Amino acid sequence: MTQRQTTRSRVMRRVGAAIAATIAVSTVASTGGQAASTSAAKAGGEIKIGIFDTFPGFCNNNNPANSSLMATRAIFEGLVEKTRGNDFVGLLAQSWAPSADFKTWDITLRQGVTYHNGQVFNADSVVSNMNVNSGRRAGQGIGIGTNITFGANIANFAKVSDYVVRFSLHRAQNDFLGTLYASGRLFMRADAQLATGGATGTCSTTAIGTGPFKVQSWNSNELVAVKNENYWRKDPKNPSAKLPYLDKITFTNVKEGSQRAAAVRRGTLDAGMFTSFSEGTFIKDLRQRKSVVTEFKSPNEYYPSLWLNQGKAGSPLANKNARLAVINCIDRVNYVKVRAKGETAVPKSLVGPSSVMYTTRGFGKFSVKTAKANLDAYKAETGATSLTLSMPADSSSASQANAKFLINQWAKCGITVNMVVEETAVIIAKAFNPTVPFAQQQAYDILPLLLFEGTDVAFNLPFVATNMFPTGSTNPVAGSFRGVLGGLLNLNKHLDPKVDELFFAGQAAATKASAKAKYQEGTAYLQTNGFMTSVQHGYYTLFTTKKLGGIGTLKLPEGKTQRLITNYGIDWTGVYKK
Amino acid sequence: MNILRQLLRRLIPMFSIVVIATFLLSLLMRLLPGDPAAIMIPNGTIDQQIEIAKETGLDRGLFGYYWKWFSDVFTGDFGKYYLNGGYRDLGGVIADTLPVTLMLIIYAQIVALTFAIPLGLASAYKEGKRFDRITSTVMFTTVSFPSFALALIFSLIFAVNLGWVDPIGYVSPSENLGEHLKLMILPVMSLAFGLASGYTRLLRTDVIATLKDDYVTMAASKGISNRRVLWRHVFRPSSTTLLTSAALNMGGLIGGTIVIETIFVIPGIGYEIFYSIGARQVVAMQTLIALISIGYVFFNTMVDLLTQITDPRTRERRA
Amino acid sequence: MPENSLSSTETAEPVIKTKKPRKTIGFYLASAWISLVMFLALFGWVLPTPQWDEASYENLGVAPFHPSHILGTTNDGYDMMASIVNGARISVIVSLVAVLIGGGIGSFIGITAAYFRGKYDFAVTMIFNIMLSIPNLVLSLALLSVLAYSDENNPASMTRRVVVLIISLIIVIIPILGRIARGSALQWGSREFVLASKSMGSKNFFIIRKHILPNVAPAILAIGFLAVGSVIIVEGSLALLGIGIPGGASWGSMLANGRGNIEYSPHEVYLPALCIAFTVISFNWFGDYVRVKLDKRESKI
Repeated sequence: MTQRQTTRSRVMRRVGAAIAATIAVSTVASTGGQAASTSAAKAGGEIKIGIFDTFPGFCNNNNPANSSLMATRAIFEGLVEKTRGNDFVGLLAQSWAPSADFKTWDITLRQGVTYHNGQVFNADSVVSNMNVNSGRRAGQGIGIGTNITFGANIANFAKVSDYVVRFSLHRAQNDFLGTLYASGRLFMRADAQLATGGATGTCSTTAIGTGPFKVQSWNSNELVAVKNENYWRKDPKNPSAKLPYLDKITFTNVKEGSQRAAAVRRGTLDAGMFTSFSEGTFIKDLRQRKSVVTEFKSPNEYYPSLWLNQGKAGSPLANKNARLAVINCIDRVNYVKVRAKGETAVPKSLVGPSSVMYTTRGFGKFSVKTAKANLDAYKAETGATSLTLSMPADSSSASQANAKFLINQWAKCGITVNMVVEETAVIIAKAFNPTVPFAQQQAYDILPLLLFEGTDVAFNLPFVATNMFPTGSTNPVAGSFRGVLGGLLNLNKHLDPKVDELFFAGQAAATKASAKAKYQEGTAYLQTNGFMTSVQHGYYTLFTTKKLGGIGTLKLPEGKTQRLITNYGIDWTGVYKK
Repeated sequence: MNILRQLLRRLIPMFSIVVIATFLLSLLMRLLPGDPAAIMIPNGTIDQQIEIAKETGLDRGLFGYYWKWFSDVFTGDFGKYYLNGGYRDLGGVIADTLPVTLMLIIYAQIVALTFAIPLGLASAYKEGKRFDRITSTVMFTTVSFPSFALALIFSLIFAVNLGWVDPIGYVSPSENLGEHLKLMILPVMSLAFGLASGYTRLLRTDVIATLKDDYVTMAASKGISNRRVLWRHVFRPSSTTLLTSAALNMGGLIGGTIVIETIFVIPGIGYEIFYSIGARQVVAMQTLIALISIGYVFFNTMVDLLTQITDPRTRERRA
Repeated sequence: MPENSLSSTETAEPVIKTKKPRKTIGFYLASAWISLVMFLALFGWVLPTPQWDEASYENLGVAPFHPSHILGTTNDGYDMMASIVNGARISVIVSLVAVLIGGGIGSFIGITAAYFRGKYDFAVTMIFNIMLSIPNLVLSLALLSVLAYSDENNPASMTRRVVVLIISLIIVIIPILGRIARGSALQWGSREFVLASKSMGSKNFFIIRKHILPNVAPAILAIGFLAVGSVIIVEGSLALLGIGIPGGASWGSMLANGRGNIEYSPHEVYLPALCIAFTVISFNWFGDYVRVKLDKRESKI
């Protein structure tokens, strides 16, 4: 789900990085104050929000991109949410109970929730959603999305009672909630949306969720959502009021960052989302206008990587020294300064310090000298006379400028990297193609893409594991696609089972501490062997006009408050117009 | 029925141009590297991709594909945007977006002509004088800014600094005419500037030539006032050339609005063309672009026909 | 729309019978600017500017007249002077080559069509119309994808992209200039001196060269000079859509890259735009002069 999502939104624009020294500061920003408004002031109204992605459709395998995911999340809800303290908390699920060996999980669902079309949300509904998401209904109008790989460990799921679903797993997994959370992407959809219908079905075009808003109309660049009158959540501070407060939200794709910023400043838009990876200039400018706009900034928990392809036939990157030469030749400090205007953070690991995977062991350090030594070692080992690689860039000038910057640096170390300019759709099709054999997938030598994110492992793992499907998987898709799909997201195309071993061991560990140790070992292994690297770690941010209130103040049903803002924006349920 | 015969005589070449142009488009689409169905729905199963190839005729070779597309369009099926589970019907998209773009273009043409006609006449009349030189210099400076640069400069000045208008957005005229016109100001200006200088130049040259024609000299020598000569004897014939050019621009302008619509977030057809190119939706690309081609050929033929009928001078000139 | 400034000059410019060309200040300024641009295009590399594609990490978006960056830098730290010098080469080469070749082919086809008439003429007109009906943006996109096809294993080089871009611009220019040449040649093909020459048994191409070409040339040249400017602008619009020359290598590409920074470092937009403007104006003045100078028709009739 993510990979496409990111690419679609402008692949390389996000080649970037982040240290989380800023995290603490960033999340706290700006929520205070507006909580205690009277209910009369929360009268609702219509608002407009500017985003920077198109709407690709509402099915899981459409992989909505970061900012359009914000709109999608106003319509759909998942089973679990994440709090500001990085704990999982129920949303459509009420509680859960893992078995002692972490191989069976019973999820108890919330009662009294209905979809927009009146269908009752219950165990049957979860089962039919899981059938689609795991690829068990592939071909019936629903594609074999790459998201299938995320749930590859699920052996079986079944209704225990009307509101209890039991998941049985192949491998022990202590972070199964992370799989269900899927960084906020595993939504529950009504049966009517999942209905089959010829080759193409209706999953992408009909949006029926349980969320606070319903789709009124949409096209690739605009989505209009209106209040769901039967929404289930209540505001604990204002129990008599009906949620959501807003009557209508229009999400519009405003591609030009300068225009989006201008529109927020003027109030044409009530809010605008920005990415630190390519819009640092506008973010800095808006941040100074404290009297006009309020900022809601996510932690630096988005970790774009350079995926070094080792599996392609004859790839020079199969050699460790060649990979290290590429990695050690990246001047991350100046990259962040020039390309992101200092808004992103210089990475010291593949992920940021808030992640359980975080370790600085073996992470490449910029040194032309070391890189040249690596290059010489590569030449001596293989007899090659030069190192020539390819890297794609899409048609946006930001993407090409990012690529150009890196390519110039590599040239100084004696590494030639050619920029392959292609349309986004073509890059995606080439990078993730479940219909060709493993060796032909992801044909680029270096692929800059934002896939890693967040604080846990469940979401990141499929991107580095050689095969997410266990041998003997009961998933029918795995039967025919195990070799392809299981490693489809492994953009490094490495075949080293050690990586799988380390991370799977972490997921099976009995305690949090021993799990963390294994994950860090896994990260260190990826870094030491130069499987991949990171150039910057960044964040997403939302600027709103002073007219909006209630952002980030609504408590979840279980009492805690969910993360204020992520790459998919904020929760609009408790937001009102002042 | 002279007009009817003229019309028929033109219909055949017009039709064949449309056929050949759209066929060439098909060829171009087929030449793009990669399996189009796989790129359109990268997450689809092989079966789904095969079915889409079948539905669009992509599996039938160049001629089969073209024939499928052509006969579909002829029967009102304009094709689809394919998503991984579902599709958006292109007919509806065109019905929604084409009027918006046409409005934008027509406003731009009106504004451009409103400026170009007096300026062109005046600078022709004062050929070589200071007024003429200044006008043409100013015109060339504005035409030298690509429309996207003009658009962003206007947005900075009028939306951000002066705060007169909103930087983005669109409202349909039936909803709120005033707001509609206000939001159209910046995009129309960005398009009209380049157009106006082209038209001014064209009119200027044409009028200079006409001014030297014998009948104008004669009219002038008869003591008819300058203004009357300029409008009746000079502008009228010259206006044909201008209008021809304006009409011919219609097709090209639809393609030209891509950038403007993206910058000002106007839900027009240019926005859709841009999207279909980025998502490599081959069938949608073909239909949308064919629409521009057809528009071009249509306006071209109509203008040709009209000028032949109305202006004998053109007939002569075109021999 | 820049794209249309080319096509709006559909009809032949009736040649104005004016007095001898005057070398005004404008003419000298235009010549000076064109010479300067040509000099930069050919010998720009001798200037002591920084590398155009190497960012200065310390000076991001500094204004012009900075001690080490005379014209300032872009928001990304690229030296404006160096970029403009490099852009002169790319922009001018692309547009000159495209117009020269496209104009040459177009004029040849157009003139011969007008001269021989008949089925050949019909076919030519038809083909021109077909070519004109496909928007150049789409044509360039398709041609780049097909001809500069990037295999990940051997990506298309920048030179190849530039060449393909030039080819696609040529394809766009041929029908535009071809139609103008044809229109203009039609007027002259039926003149008395041509008919006389024919009746005297002169060879067709002799007549074309001797009698028609000199008369048609002024109009074509005038439009051709104009087209050089237009092509520079068109390339910029293509760059914005990712179809032109990437990475700020041409003036148009510089504009496209700097467009978002217009509020914060305006020189990033104004400087390349002014370069384009001066070039367009200069070529136009130059074209006017050449046209008048070449226009010796009076003596022939």
